Amino acid sequence: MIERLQQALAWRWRQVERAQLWLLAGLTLALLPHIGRLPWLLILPAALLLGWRLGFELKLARLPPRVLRWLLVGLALAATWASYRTLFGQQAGVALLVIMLCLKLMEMDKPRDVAIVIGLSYFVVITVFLFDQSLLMGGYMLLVVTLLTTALTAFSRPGATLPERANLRLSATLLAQAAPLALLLFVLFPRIPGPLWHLPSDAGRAGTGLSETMSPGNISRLSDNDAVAFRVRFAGETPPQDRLYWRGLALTSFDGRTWRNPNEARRGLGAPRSFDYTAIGESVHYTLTLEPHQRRWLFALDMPASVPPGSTVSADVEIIADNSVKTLRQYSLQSYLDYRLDAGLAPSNFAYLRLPPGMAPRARILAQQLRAESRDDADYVQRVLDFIRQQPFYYTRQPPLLLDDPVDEFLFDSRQGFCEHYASAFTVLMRAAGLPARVMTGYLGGEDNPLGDYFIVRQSDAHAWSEVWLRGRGWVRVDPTAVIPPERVENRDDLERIAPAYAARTGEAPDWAKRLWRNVDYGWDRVNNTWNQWIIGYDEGTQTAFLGRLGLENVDWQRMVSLLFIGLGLVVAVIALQLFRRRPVRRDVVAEAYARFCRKLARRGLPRKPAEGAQDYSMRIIPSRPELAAQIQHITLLYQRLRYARSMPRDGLRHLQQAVRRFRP
Amino acid sequence: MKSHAYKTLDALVAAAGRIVLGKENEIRLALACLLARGHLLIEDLPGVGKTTLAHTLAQVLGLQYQRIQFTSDLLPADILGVAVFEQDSGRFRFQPGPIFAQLILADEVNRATPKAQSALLEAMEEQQVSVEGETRPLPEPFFVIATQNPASQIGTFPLPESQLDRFTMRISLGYPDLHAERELLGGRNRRELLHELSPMLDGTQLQALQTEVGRVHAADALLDYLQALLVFSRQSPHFAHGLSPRAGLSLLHSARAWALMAGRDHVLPEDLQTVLPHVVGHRLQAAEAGGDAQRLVALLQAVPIP
Amino acid sequence: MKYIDMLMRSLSGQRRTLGSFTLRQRLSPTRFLRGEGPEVGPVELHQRRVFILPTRQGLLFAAILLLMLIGSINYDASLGYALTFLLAALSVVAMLHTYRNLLRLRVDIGPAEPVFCGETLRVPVTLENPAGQARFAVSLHFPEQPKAVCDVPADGWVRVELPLSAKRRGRHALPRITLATVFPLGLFRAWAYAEFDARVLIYPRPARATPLPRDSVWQTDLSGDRGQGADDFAGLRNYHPGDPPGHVHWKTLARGQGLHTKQFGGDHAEELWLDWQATAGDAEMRLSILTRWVLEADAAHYRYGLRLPNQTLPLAHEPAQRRRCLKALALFNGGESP
Repeated sequence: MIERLQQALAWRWRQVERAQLWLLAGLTLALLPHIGRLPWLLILPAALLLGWRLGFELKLARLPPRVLRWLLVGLALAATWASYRTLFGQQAGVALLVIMLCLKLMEMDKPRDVAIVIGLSYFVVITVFLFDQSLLMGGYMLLVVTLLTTALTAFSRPGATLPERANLRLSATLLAQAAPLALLLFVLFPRIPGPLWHLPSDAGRAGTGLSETMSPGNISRLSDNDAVAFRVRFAGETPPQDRLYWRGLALTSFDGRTWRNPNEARRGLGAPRSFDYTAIGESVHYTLTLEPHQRRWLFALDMPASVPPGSTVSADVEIIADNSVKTLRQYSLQSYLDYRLDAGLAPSNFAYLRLPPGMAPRARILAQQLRAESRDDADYVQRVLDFIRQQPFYYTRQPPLLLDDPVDEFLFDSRQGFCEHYASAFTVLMRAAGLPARVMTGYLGGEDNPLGDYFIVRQSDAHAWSEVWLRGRGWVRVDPTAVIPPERVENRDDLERIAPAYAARTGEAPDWAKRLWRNVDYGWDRVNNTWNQWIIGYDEGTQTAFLGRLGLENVDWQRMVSLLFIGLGLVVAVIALQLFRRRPVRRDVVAEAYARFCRKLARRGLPRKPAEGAQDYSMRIIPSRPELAAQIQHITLLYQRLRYARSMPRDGLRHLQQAVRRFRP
Repeated sequence: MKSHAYKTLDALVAAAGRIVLGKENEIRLALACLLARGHLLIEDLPGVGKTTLAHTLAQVLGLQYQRIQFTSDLLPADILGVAVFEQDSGRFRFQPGPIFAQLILADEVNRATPKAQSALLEAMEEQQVSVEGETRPLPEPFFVIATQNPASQIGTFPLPESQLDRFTMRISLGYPDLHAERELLGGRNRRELLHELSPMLDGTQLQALQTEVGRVHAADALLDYLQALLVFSRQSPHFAHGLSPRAGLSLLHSARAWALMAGRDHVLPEDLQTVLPHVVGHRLQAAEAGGDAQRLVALLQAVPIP
Repeated sequence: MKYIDMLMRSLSGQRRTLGSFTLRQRLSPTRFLRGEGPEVGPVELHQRRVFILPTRQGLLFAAILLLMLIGSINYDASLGYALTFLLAALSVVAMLHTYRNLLRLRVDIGPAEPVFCGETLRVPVTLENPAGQARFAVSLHFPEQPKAVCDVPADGWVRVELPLSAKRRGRHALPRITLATVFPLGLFRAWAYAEFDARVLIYPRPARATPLPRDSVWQTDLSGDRGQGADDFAGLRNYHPGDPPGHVHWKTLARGQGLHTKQFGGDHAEELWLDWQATAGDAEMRLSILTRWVLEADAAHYRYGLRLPNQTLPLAHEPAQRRRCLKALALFNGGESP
């Protein structure tokens, strides 16, 4: 029974038009990456429709009648609305495209429908790129594009009985021939800085990496996310690891449990205020390639001297981009590791001093006590740090939950935590003593990729520290986590993370397996970095830089377009020459010599007819040129002997060529 | 490099030409056909000298000659021979028919029934005769000249195309020109002259010449040309069907024989062109009903020489 | 660059390189629409005869590409750019392939068997491919006639029979053949025209069964006739050369009594004149009736002749007679068209 079913299916499988299979395969693979992204309410119907079409091709199902099709369209719209509460915007738009495309499969019989479906399938590929442009996804999508192109070739050759491999080879050939043209377009097509219109607000997913809030004590486990946050290439010498504080977001308001960034509401109000900023020492130049994190803030080495184009700076010296970072973003900056910020002016509002009333009473008492013992503010800071160093504070990634008053519980009971706990408690102690202070979040350190000349900063390098305003010195960065002695750090890797300098000093060699893994990891990261730099991050700036490297300085877009057209013309000409080349004619020197002889006579009005033998030809022309009879006969005889006889006369070819050369009718 | 063969053949043609007046080209073609081990079909009106040509050839070549007049009541046994019961020995004895000769003139083949025709054609094809289960080889060399009268269509069985392909060449003699006709009228009786003619070759010499034809060189360039002709006939829509491989071989052998008779040890495109109308003329059929085979030959002759 | 030039020229329908055309002829847009005029085959589709334009699917594809480009710019998606450019390049490459798929094909036609008006002519067309790569999905058709699609192998040829419905009796010039291809992607359509200096013969449409005009023009040849009952066995006579083999009485031959031929009543003895005057109706109607009569007379193995107002075809019975008569009917009074 089952066997018969199998046989019947196999038979039907052979009957299916192969072009349809290519299309269904291509479309299905194009939709796969969307699975995690689209709601099941739409994914399931899409899969069902694909299956329906396959069933139709296998002659197992019929396509729905027109009424049912319209009903399905209505349902699809409803499902989209139910999922997103809108039919527009990026997410909803993609969802709608996917479901409508699958519905189109239900009425795909004319060539026009096929063209629409294949064209929109290509479009689906591009919607995938809105979410993921990694190297792996790029490679995967190249496969999808090859399949879709194969479907196109198969549809343009209806009823062909040729093996399907021939179709696949053809589309691969076409794509290979298109590749140089595409590369040229990619390099020279003028990049227009987008967006052309304001992106719908839902563009992008929930962000990764740093968040705008911080609630130490609420999380009992620090995530160990090795994803790359950004990569940095330093122009000159790399600063020491323990000074690489990558400044991100300032958290200034505290409600006893949670630190928040209050700037969201203030953003875009008026011109950014000016800073009293004094740079000390050498500047550090670097280029930072930020992975898309769907938020607006950018990172810079503490303390940036400028902001990249398309961004502004906030009162807390956060760099805020005009749009959220949805694609890889690359910018070059200059920072000073030593600086003096707002030294002259006291912070203008009390936000930096505010503590929620009734919160952390023990911490307040400790602060009063320590402040009373201190000579000045700087001494107070030192005393607080000493407190942390001397009391049994431990660094752990799995601290106990802090239920009632996280600050007090941490400072006096549990004494176990990671950077957030320390930064939070330290900042509270500062404020309790009347010193303006804020929590800064960002990243610390990073790893040098030995296989490429750049630094990798990962999500696991996320860090929090404090900034305290001291009279005469301005805002000073204080990292309370760094004072914990190494023996109180639970994990060796964490030690590297929070205090890179210690790890360097202890210098224990990792075992070979780890080394090997690290090298593979670094190699892969390097490939990804190159991909990001040159493919994903290829924008106006990179374009100019790249052309500059090629010796084309100051190329404006008009020149770029003319370059593009010249290049395109050349490449198309090369491809065309290759395609339209006539087959090389078998070179026969004897025939060539004789052809020269005939051309000479043809110029004198005595052309040889194509079907005329040499002998007949000579006999025809000699009467009109009797004075040439001897020469003509000589050449004809030589030619015939050389071309048709078994044995060649000695030096026959040379004689023939000579005779033809000397022949002047 | 005029070979011995060339001189012999030239002399042969000259001798035959003294009997069959003004038909040197036809004599040469017939001789070429014979040298190429083929068979000849002459399509012409009665009385233009078909018999004389055949007889002359037999005479100068020193071949045994038999003439078979084909009529509607001719039976295969009349051609091939019969087994006769002998009272004395009490056994059958094979009485060979007229086909057991070296040169056969099959006169007016289209008058006989297809049965009789196919008996002749089978013998031609296989160089042997099967009678009552016994196979008997035909003499070497074996050459058939068949004649057909194109004028009388009624009451005849024109050879079907498949049979025509077995003839290497088809020629027609046509009327003699004025000069030849005058000589014919004023000169001596052809028959008498024929009897005076002495054989110039014997069987072995003829076979040696046939072997020599096979040695005439056909260069690649020439074979290219030959193939171009064959391919053209196969793909041009004017042809009902293309030339068969047998036609190609016939062309090549005839051209070789023609080249040998011209005193060359290699074939020129001109040789091919000369024999072409006679070798392919009867094998071609226009795609158009009632189309003209001559036009097809002209198309072939216009194929460029590579 | 020469090929770019060539492409441009073929796109615009203007060409520079041809000696045999005057400038005016060369620039004439009618060539673009109608081709070169009748020629003697084979016709080689060289650069100046092959035209190319995007198909509707191609334009749709271009629109989608434009959308993709806008999307890529807006979302600053570099891989989006890459995909857009790859597909744009793909269409350019496909254009070259489409053009090549038709370029340098050789087309020739053969004579078509005459048919009756209302039937379909089958015109044999040979496509020869002198190039080292095969041609795929080349479609051919006469104007407003069904298409024939074929592949042509490398260095090979195919013969297709191109349908052409016979609408009017007479001898007509063959309409122009359109050769087209959208291979390999269906985004571009390359096409070329081939018009041959050839004619096809279309016989008049036979009228519905009309009884043969026995009463008025029926004659009998008394010397040969042995009775009125057609196809009845009437006896044996001595064999004459030329008697159909099917009529030979083999039994007597087997008995050793010599060859005899079976005689049938009415056999070979009935003669029939098909006369214009014996028909009624307008000219075309009369021709139709006469056509039907020719067919019936031929099928019944009569000896028959045809009398038209301007022409008389004598009595005969042979395959050629049918053809002769039908041709005369086809060409009667202005059946010829340029």
